[in-house]
Amino acid sequence: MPARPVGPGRAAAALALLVLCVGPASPQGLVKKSYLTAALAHEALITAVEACARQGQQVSGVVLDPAGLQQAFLRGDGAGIHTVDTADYKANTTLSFRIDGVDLVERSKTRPPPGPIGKLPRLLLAQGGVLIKAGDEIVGAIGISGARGNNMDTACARAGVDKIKDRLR
Amino acid sequence: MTSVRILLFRSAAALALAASAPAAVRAEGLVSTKRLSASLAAELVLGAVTACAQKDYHVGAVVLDTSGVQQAALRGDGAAAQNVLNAIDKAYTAASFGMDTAELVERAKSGAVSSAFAKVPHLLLNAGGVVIKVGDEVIGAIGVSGAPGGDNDVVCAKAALEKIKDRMK
Repeated sequence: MPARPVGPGRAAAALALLVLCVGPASPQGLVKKSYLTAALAHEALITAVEACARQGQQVSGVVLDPAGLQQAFLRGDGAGIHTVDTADYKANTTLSFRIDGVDLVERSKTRPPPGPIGKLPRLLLAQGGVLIKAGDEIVGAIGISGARGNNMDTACARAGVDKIKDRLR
Repeated sequence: MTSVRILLFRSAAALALAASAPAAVRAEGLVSTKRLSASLAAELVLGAVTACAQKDYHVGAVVLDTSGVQQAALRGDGAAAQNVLNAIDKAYTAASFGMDTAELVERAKSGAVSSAFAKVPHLLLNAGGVVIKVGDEVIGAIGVSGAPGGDNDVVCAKAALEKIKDRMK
């Protein structure tokens, strides 16, 4: 049977697809992920914990890679016992839903929070988890816990991310 | 009379004990202990990871206080998750016995090793757990894992300790 001629519509569609598929969204058989160097993970974390400490807030923090695995951890002076766990949960939640905790909390005021929260471990509806992005790619998350009030955990976490953001390449 | 002699002996022994006991042990009703500040703990894990990275060893490093609680952790570039877990166990063992795990490994060669190793979780007979001391007082431990051979882990841990030792006061 003779091959059906490829119409101009199909060719255009294939071309469009080819163009669209360039870049990280077109894996052939491998998915490439980037994550922070240990040095930058460490720097972001101590910057965040110190930002809170300077304001009298005793916090703990973690940096997770995009798979949710811990890269760096720091228990701040005087930080509460639970902050070690909640910092991890916050960062993990942020990574998992690809949204900063503070925004997820805000969004959940007008519609139901994601179903797995409250059911799966390491998920927590709280502010304090902040995405670390290189361009559009999520390369990790930082979680801070222990500060009192007014999204201060988030502010400290963002101070950490800001410190390193120009070197994410 | 015998009982008087025993009494005298006991008093002398008690006096000797009181005189030789270090400050931390001579508690009336409270025990005061020390631990590293968060900033020194953070510097210590970074120092160990960096010292090893300079030799192309990819390690994880962890600092624990004497209660066995994590203060800081860093997974070096190229280090695996189990390196961090191993580092925790090495530090835990050193903190628990109050001596470097390398020394425990030495003692094990002559058979002098606690039976706890076979039973208690997190006790690990591997070089790479190094106690953090202020004078004679153990205030924590650092664990390093991932270099070829525990002895190389020890070198990185000690290099990092050397850098902060003058500030532990």
